[in-house]
Amino acid sequence: MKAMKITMLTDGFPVLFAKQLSQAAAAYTSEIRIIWEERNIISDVKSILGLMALETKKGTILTLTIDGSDEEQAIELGKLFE
Amino acid sequence: MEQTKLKFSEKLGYGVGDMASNLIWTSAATFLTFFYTDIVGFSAAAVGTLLLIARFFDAFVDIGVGVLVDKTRSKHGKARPWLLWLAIPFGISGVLLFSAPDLGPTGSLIYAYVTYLLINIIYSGANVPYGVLNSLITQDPYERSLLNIFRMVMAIFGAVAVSTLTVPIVNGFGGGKHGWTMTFMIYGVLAAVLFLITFRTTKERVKPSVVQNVVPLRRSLKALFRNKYWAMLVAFMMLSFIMSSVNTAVNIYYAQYILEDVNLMSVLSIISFIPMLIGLLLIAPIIKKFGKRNSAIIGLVITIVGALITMIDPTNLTIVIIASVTKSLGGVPLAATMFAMLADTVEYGEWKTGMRTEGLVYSAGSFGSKAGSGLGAAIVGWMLAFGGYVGGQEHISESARSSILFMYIYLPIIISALMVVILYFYKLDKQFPQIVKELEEAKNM
Repeated sequence: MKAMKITMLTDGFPVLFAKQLSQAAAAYTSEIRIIWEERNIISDVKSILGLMALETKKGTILTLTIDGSDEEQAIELGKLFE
Repeated sequence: MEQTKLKFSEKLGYGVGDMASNLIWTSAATFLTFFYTDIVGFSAAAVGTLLLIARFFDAFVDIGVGVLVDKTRSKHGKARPWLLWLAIPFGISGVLLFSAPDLGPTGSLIYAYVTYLLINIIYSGANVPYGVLNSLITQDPYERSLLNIFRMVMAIFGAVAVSTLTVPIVNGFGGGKHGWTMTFMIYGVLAAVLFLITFRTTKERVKPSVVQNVVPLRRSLKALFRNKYWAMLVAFMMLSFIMSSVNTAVNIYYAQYILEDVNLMSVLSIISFIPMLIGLLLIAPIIKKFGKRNSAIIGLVITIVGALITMIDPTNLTIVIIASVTKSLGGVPLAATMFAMLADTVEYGEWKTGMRTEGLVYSAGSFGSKAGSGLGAAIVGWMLAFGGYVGGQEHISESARSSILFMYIYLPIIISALMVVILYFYKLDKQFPQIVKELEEAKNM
């Protein structure tokens, strides 16, 4: 299991970013989740609707967790938040 | 963005669907009470209860239909199949409604409940998908307005036709129960044919961009309440329907007690119909130039001016006519744009939440308009009571007179101003091209 902190660059997940992220995540077999501790919400990163349901603000801090055989590679997803 | 210019035949084909609705629905609204009390012989109280129960029932049916439309995936599309399925049942239910088989007093009343609730269900089942269809035919915001204008013009023709022709046709068939049933056979056949024309001539082109599969209701409801422009439009439509239903209901009191001639009521109605019809035929270039929201604001300002004109001398018929024509012209942009704006909130919702739920957006929107009509009618009653109005007298008290003047002049000003405030925050016209572009990109990713 890998985890990293990510910081939102936008208010919420705009449709194009959500699509890009969910598609990129779908390429891995690992379970990939975003945890929003403040609100107690866990979203499946492979689900575009799950991402778009997160009403974060710009600067909100989230945790990206990856659990599975290709977690070493999948942690690359964090780069999409840079 | 798909910039297909729709053919005249498709726009007309869409428009006649609302004529179909009006042939049965407006005639039911206009004549059913009379039919029940004077032809069938029910008491007015029994009829009142029936209509009230149906109204409550109706609101829920609408939302249910909206949810079903969102789940529909047929080879004919999402909304169109409903027109195909329900065109003929709609016509038949109209005939059943205006038939009164001899079943004894209890039996007749049960028959009335069954047939009236049945037509409510079928009407919702056709009318909600019909509204949704606008958002599925095209994504071009201007073409959506044009579709809506065709719809409104056809609806007015239908309404005028049934209000003027029904009684002569009924009498032509010899009047009585037989006359009414025969008349509605004609209306029923026409309505079915017109709905089928809408089915045949229109095409659903807009497909979801983000998710294709059906979204569970719990999620789509949550998404609906994140759609701020939808919420604004529901409030906007509610206010608009309050205003028009107060206006309709207060006309007769205004004619009777302010202008002191009750016969002027029909004059007041006609002079609000004709400018509306002419205005709708001419409004398209204005919407093209200024957009829906700005056109609506212009219309509301004109409505306020119309109400202010009345103040010059509320008892002078010439001034009241000039004011009514002005108010009616101010209403044109609203009639032309309101449902088209509602259609645009479908894309905003999809862009914001990923879920495209035309059925829910429309049915919950029309819930607002129905609540508004109901509230408007109630407001008239409350205001008259507040003014100490007592009916059936030669003269009314000064405070009752003030109530009528308030509803005729000041209430439209207040409501129009509130509507302008809502539109001030409504920026979807500007954002819309970018939203459609991003949805298109997301679809192709």
